Amino acid sequence: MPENGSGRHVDWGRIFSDALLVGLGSTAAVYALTAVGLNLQFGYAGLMNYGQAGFLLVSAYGTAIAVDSWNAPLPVAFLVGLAAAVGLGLLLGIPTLRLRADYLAIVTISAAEILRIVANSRAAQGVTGGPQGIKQFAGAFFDWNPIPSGRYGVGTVAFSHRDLWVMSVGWGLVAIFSLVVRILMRSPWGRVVRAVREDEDAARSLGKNTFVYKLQALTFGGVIGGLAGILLVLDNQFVEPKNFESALTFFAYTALIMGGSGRILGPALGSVMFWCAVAGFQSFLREAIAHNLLGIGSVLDPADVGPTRFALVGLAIMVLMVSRPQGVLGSRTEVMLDE
Amino acid sequence: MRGTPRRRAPARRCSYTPAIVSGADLRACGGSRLARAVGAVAAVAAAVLGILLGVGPAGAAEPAVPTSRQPVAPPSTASSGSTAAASIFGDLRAGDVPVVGVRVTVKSGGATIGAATSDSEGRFEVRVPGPATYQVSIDAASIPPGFALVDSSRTELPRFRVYGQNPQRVLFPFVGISSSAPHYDVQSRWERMLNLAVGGVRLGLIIGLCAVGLSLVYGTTGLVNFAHGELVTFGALVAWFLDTSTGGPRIGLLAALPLVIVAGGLLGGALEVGLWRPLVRRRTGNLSRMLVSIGLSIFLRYGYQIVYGGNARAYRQYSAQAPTRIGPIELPVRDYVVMAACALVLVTIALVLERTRLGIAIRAVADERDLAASSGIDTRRVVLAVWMGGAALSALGGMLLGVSETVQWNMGYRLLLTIFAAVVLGGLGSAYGAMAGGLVVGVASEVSTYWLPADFKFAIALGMLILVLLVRPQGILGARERIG
Repeated sequence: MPENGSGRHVDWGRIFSDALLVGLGSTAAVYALTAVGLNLQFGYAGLMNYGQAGFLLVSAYGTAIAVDSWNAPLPVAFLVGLAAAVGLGLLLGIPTLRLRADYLAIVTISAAEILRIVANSRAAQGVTGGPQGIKQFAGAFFDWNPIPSGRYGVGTVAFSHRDLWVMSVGWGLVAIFSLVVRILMRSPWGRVVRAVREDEDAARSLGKNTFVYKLQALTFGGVIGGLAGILLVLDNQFVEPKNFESALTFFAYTALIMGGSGRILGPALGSVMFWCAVAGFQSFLREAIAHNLLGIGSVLDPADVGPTRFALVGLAIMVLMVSRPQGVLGSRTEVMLDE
Repeated sequence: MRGTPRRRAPARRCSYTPAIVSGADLRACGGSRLARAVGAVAAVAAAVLGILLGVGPAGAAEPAVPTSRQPVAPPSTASSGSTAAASIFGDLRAGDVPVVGVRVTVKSGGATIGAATSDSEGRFEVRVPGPATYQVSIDAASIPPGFALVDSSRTELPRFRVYGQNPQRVLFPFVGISSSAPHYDVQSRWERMLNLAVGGVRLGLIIGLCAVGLSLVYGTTGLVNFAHGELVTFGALVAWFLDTSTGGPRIGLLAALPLVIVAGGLLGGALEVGLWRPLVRRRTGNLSRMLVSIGLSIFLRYGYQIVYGGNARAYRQYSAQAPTRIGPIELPVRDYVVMAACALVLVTIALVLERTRLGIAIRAVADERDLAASSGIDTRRVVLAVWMGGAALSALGGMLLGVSETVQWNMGYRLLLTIFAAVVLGGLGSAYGAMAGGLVVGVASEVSTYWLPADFKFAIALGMLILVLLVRPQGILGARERIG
């Protein structure tokens, strides 16, 4: 972080550009992609998957381990990572999708935590690197970067060629998979999935094997999440268990609900809004503390900025769920939240 | 490094009034039966703890501190913004007597990172560059006369791991040689297993205490409350504020106990009246309320971090205590007391549920809400009672967990999935199931460390949770029709 509070006045321009840098950057793209997967599972199929972080984890580690331990070329490693997400989807889905929605939530979050504990454990250190993780496995990805080196952007909102490459791939994937989900949802398959969400018994009485549809939705959403996981660790050139705490899943849910769950553009818009708000607020707090704006500097100190913005994320989830559960884009009729 | 500043939060951090409590209508919590029930639990618990903890200080004067149990690795968020630097610290004490002038060296891969000498309070601290594995060793020659390490061969910890950018406590238990220190034989395998199981019972009882509220809230309202862990943390933090905080009244844990229970009950009641009841009135469904509880959990948790700070701390009292041997079992006195208190409170809960009108009403509502309502039970009051009682028990559980381990802003959240495991194991909605489930989960996860590395302990509990949901989703004591 650059030195803050050097100017004499609150720098609103900087707050604005900080918000845009993060809101358009690779982090927002990763969360948007995660939320596209959640949108398929939760928004359209009504599955409460609280373990999306687990899907990101298996794909990210699958990719990193394939390169690190087996010296696989990166494209093969991607396939290994995605295969791991498919495996996790089937492994989780086959036994649990027959259970009720709140049970599914508990099982998926537990499974994701188990995966994180195992990746972090000393016993797995030889493969996963334990808490130290795996570093520098994605050089090839940056060798493919066609963008000439330099900085691109307007004024203070500028990205390096490296960031721009990750961002284009990330937002490109978001666009592709949003389109795929849109096509799927307009297909007969999508209609059945939504019917299952609205009334599973009715769908079943029409002769549909609802279990298979739910399993497909969970697994496909998980694979999209897996792609997000791969993107996340490619960007960092570093994979560690800390990346995949359950907070990741909850933040992606927040982004999804902000944008509008059950809408094609909900995840992308929500993620941009979410990260603009978080980063803008963080930047504002730093400035406000440095300049003691509105007396904030006497209540909080710079170390409190991180927790404060997360506390506000929590508050935002509550307020959103209470006042506008359909988000910016949604319509109340499309929001499946209750039996 | 004599006079190293001690790691204490500035007093400002302790101003302790979550807005939710003050904002809500607390008058509604005055149901007399309810007040009596909560009061009864509080009074009994306080009385027994009083009697038992009377032995506490005496036990504390006896030899040293082999709690080789290090705090569970905090899953510190990389972006949590904590600026605390990584360090290794410890209090060298024989009972309550500080061991002064002992030299501690920290190395990493053969290179010396730093060294420190214990100050007049026995405290030392060595800054380290960041999370990694270090060798921590103690210079046996610098140990002053009259003291010795409990395990004299344990002068070096070859693989001490520091997690995150936090100070991490290292334990070198000492004994005063002048006192008649009992010399313990090396434990047999059977004894080790037994001690692990007893440690599991301790954890399981605490989990059971915390799980009753979660289970009954689910049974009476259908809410899977992801913010339940924060009710646990709340109790531990209130006790810390009352007992240890430099800005607080420092009244001691015993006097804090009833206040913790009352504060927990008030928080639970305030949440029910100010948040959950209006949501139910607006016909917000179970799954939406579950998402709201996630938001509440995040909000409270990071709120705690802002007021309490990111470090794990111990209470002023009972934190450095000798293990006392009863038969083959070796535990600090505080752990025996914690276990007895938990068991007593659980029995009290069972009596309240079986014998009082309120308890019967709670079980009726948890069993079949509509039927209970149509037979004239005021379900609103029952739900309020469950929230207050459940939150009070969780706060008590959090405080006891803090006594037997350490206090941290996310301690309840770290325990949450284990509590879920206990609740699901026992059958969602059943109070007795939650108690039994807590014991099973606690013992299984502690005993598993006999064969498996300790970092898998938590995974074992979650694995059991998943297994039970697959094999017998209604839990051990749950009713068959609860599964969907």
